[in-house]
Amino acid sequence: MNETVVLKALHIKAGENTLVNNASLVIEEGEIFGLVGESGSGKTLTAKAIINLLPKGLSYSADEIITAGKNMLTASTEEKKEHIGRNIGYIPQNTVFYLHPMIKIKNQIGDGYIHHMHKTRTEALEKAEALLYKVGFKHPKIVLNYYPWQLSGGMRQRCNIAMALMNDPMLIIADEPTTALDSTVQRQVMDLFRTINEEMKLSILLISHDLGLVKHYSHSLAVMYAGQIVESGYTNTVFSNPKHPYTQLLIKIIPSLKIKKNEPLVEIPGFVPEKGRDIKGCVFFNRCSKAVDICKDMVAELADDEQDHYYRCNLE
Amino acid sequence: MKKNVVISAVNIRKEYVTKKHFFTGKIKEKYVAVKGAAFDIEEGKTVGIVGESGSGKSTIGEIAGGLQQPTYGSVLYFGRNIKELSEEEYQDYRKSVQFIFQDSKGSMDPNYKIFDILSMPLITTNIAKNKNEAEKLIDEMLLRVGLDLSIKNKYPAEVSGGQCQRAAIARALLVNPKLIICDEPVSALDLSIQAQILNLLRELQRELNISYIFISHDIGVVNYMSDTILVMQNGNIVERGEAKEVLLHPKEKYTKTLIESAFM
Repeated sequence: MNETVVLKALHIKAGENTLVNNASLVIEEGEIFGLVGESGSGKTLTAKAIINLLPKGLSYSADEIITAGKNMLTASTEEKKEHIGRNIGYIPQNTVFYLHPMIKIKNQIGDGYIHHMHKTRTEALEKAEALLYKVGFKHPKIVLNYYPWQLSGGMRQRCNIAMALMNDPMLIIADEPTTALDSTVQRQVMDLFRTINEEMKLSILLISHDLGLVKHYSHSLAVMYAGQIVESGYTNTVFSNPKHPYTQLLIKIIPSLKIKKNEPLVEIPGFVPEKGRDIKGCVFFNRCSKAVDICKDMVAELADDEQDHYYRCNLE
Repeated sequence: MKKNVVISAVNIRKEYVTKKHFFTGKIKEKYVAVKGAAFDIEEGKTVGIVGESGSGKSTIGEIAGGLQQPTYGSVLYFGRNIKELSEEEYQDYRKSVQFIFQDSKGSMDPNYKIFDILSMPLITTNIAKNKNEAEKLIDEMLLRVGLDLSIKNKYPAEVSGGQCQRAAIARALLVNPKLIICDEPVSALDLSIQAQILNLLRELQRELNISYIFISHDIGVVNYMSDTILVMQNGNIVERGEAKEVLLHPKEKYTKTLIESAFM
């Protein structure tokens, strides 16, 4: 199988402060890859490093970044822009600010297509209509004539998805795509992602803090904590046999309907550390109930190669 | 009326005027946010309200807390209509019903330190006569909700979301409320912090015998917190009952969709 994204040993720093420490991941072609973690754990930064969109002021280094077949470390700025525009689709969390409020959908949905693929507005509209139908609008022509504020959150997110699909991308990055939506709408949008993934054979990087969601929809996943990927592997493997204490706790914490009401919820005491992410020891040391003395000074990177299961923990 | 019912809502209806005649003021268009809702909240119990955005959950909470006036219907506080309460009794009612919001940072003035924010309700309600007295109570409460005392001298922007939510809980508890209306209190928090806050709320309820109205779109969370559940859709209460009963045997199609989309 081919790889859509290969990322090796990514470090992101803001001045002296390390934000992402040694993150590596591989997204196979045609899979939904879940990147799970709490806010501030570096999920979005990692995704932005893949598509060369890191905010100014952050410095980064990596051994290898290959996005959709192109080496991002050696390409020139122009080449990168062109490549990203054609091959990557991006879906944001906030559906309101992504679309220009004063411009009708039909006048903004095709912009990227016209710019990168050198097409005319008419061609773009034809394609947009077909895609809007695909993402679930029964009457795409009417939607094209709306302004974004005339649509509900779920409808806007569908427009964003159609927009991301315009250039027939190889990879879609969905950054918390359903966090702002209701649970019923969330289900519809996520089912749409799955359909797109199956029909068009494109890879999706699904960034979310909701482990339940990622469990349901992803093929493989990586769990991030305080700038490090602490565990990664196939979704089934990780859920049936979680190795890192943080993952184990996260799985227990999912607010499911099966929880017994007279027992308190499992909680992770303490807070996510904001500084000191580049320490030699385990970043989860302070909150881990199973921590032993050695965890303070070093952390083992273990792998179960048969299952493609990686984790950073001293415990067996 | 039973004595232990803290708040009961009687056929509440809330309409918002969306279009008026510019000159005569005659109402041309209106939007009905809540189309007739009735419920009782007993002492020490939790009523969960679940539904999608725009279904009128928050409006119900705000009406029960006196932040908004219902267009029709009335809110009873220990069996008495809040419109008929004397000035003093009304103050008591507003003090006994407190709020916790989703965006706790937005509900605190960014120009004040946490200590000032927490001491203000104490002084306006005459629970503490001066700053020293207030500080004593605040210290006690901060420790109670699991916060470090150094937080007092910080501004809301300097603390994390989970800490801010704890501070908001402390602010609500300081005036000895009988009912706290929790409007999506954990939706903006990380999963690991969410569990901490939910456990804290339940612990406080057991200790202090407070009632909650727990508003959320997450049926898993509502189920964990509530004794009774109201399911809302388009301003109507479409289903109500014991939490267990509603979840195991949902009658309405909408409730079933909600439960399915919660990824059991």
